[in-house]
Amino acid sequence: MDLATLIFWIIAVILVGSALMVVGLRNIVHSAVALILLFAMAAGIYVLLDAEFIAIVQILIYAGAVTILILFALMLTRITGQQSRTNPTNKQWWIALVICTLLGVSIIYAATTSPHAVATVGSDSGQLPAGINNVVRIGQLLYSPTQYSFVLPFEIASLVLLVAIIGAIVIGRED
Amino acid sequence: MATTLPIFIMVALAILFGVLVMVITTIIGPKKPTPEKLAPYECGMQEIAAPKRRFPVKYLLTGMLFIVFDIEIVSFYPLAILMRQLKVFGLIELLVFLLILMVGYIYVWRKGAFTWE
Amino acid sequence: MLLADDAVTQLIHGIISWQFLQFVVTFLVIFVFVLTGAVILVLAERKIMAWMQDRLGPIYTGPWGLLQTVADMIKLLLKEDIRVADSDKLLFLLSPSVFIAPVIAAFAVLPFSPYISLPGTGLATGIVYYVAMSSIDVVAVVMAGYSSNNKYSLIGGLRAAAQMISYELPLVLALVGVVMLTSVLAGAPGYPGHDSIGTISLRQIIDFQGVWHKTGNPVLDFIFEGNTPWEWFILIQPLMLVIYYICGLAETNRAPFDLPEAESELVAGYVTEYSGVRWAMFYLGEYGNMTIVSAIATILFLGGWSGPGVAYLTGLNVPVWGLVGNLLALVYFIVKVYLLCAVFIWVRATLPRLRSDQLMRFAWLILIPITLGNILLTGALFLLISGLGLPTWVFLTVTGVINWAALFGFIWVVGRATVATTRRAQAPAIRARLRASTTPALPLRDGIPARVPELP
Repeated sequence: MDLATLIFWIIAVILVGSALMVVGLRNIVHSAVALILLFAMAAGIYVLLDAEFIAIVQILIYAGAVTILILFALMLTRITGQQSRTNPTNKQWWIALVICTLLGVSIIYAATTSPHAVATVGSDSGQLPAGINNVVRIGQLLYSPTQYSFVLPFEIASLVLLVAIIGAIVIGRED
Repeated sequence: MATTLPIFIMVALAILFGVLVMVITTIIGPKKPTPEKLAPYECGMQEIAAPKRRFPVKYLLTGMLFIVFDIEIVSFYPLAILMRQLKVFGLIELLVFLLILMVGYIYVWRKGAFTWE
Repeated sequence: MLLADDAVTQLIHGIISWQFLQFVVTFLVIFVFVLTGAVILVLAERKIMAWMQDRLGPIYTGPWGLLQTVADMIKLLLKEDIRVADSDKLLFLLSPSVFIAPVIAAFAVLPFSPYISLPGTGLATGIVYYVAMSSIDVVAVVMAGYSSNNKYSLIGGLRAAAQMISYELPLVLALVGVVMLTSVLAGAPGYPGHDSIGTISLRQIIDFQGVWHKTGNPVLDFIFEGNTPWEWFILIQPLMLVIYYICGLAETNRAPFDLPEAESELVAGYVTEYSGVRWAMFYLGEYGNMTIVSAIATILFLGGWSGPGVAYLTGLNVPVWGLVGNLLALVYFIVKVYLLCAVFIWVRATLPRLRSDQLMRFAWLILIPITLGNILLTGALFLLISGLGLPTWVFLTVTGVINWAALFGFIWVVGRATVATTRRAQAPAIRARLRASTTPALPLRDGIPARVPELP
């Protein structure tokens, strides 16, 4: 237990709290803002895992771009006043609660007992050689032809993005 | 941790500053609200209509294109760092990636999504 | 409790260390810089624009009007806190804080001088961190616009958001070229880094622009150590600096990109309903963003804090000279940043506002293809020249020459695009005038048509 652990717990509590706010708040714009907090806290967790690049990209793409998209989408649909409950729930919320609890318990069980659990994997496996920070490492993994790399998935990702562009145009067509 | 801890502290202090100033201003400022003072600004006139909260789909479209291009651009940075090592292979990777995206870009352009008003 | 004990001991160890002193000094400098920066810049803006428009500007408060913004600030602090009726209270109160916090947080990666910089300046993701922070501002703008219960705010907020996200793309792309240059230079004799791995950390990019091989001549070493203007990336990638700067103007919603706050149509955009300190927070954030944009441009293209004497004095390892060197570095850095901020003001006084049909086209159809082309061109040129077996300086020269040529090409293209879009926008009016000129002109009496023309 050290400072990093303390920071982890602070972040984790805020993260779970904001996640509950996303689900529970009555005004859907407030939910979207809570979502930003959630993404930022997830970035904090990444930083604690020494994955700086992923953390920054998390803030850039999710907290910066995806939530803007969500807010734009909310502006697109009609929102009348604060009084109306724009993020409604119905009588079945307790079923969802039970399912979520079961799911959460099984995830915790799996994460603590599985051979791939964080606790059972040695902490030395993630050490990078000197002079190689994690941006460089990601670059090597994604683009380098000499070592094991994800060149093909990276190129295929561009196809996914292409489909996303065309989908955006088709959905957003005004005529 | 050594490089990131000061950033954590900095972010925390920044949030603290923002919140603190807001709290101070609610304490020291005078408060004499009148209905006219609190009315939404409308150049001194009576407000004719409450804001119509529906917006053109163009904003949403811009947002979607932004996400796609943002992901693309962020993935350039690890490539740019290693440009000298990757040599021709890196450039070809970049070229293929860009060419595929350019198809979408030109499609969006021809569909007139960049034309506002 | 074990956890708390350990955390407390770590904190105490942290607090009594030299790094903590450095952190405190840096933090104070940053905070003073952010707060005074806005005050100084507002005054500078009013004075410089007044000179440019042949006015006097503020002259009554204090000698020569110098205390005007201080007085303004005190007034803002004491103003009534108005929360507009039927607004979304939570978001209305929250959004100024959300706007100002990323601005201050972004300063964590800016190196002010060799000593006055957080360890975060060595962060491996410096540039992307800054971009991520500025992207959170967009959220605050939308929140402010939505929560104000005012149509001007709402339209202004959405317009600002669309503009900021559109110009963020070329902004990030323009900086990729610099990262590629560091990759090319890394590992060359005298340069930092090894194994030809570039960097996106701001601290190291400064080092890349100040490589000087010691000659032993103290005068030359004093002037040029760490201060080599011929290695600044502005000489190699001037077009990217210009494009970055343009995008910076758009990101901060400054003229000529101030459509979201166009006072003739939207009152004040998303800040319409804000007053007092909340309004001040938005302006602090805007001017803070301005200094950050200028600071990043300084660091990436203009050598950061480098200037005569900095590296030499700090390299002596004598505390007194180190202090002098750091103060010099701080002065050089701030002078460069404020000179770039003065360009912001100059542009505002010079250029008229863009029309909304030009705004999006300029970002998507001109800036993004050019910056993408620059990345491809830089890569291809490097491969070509290194493939021919020529040294790196040939590559740098060729890239520089092409980029300078492209800069003038860019100015030409922008001019043509402006004329073309203006013609297209004015075409209906011109056609109407042509139609009118074919009908016989009416005799005028006292400037008024003598009789009502018959409609065709």
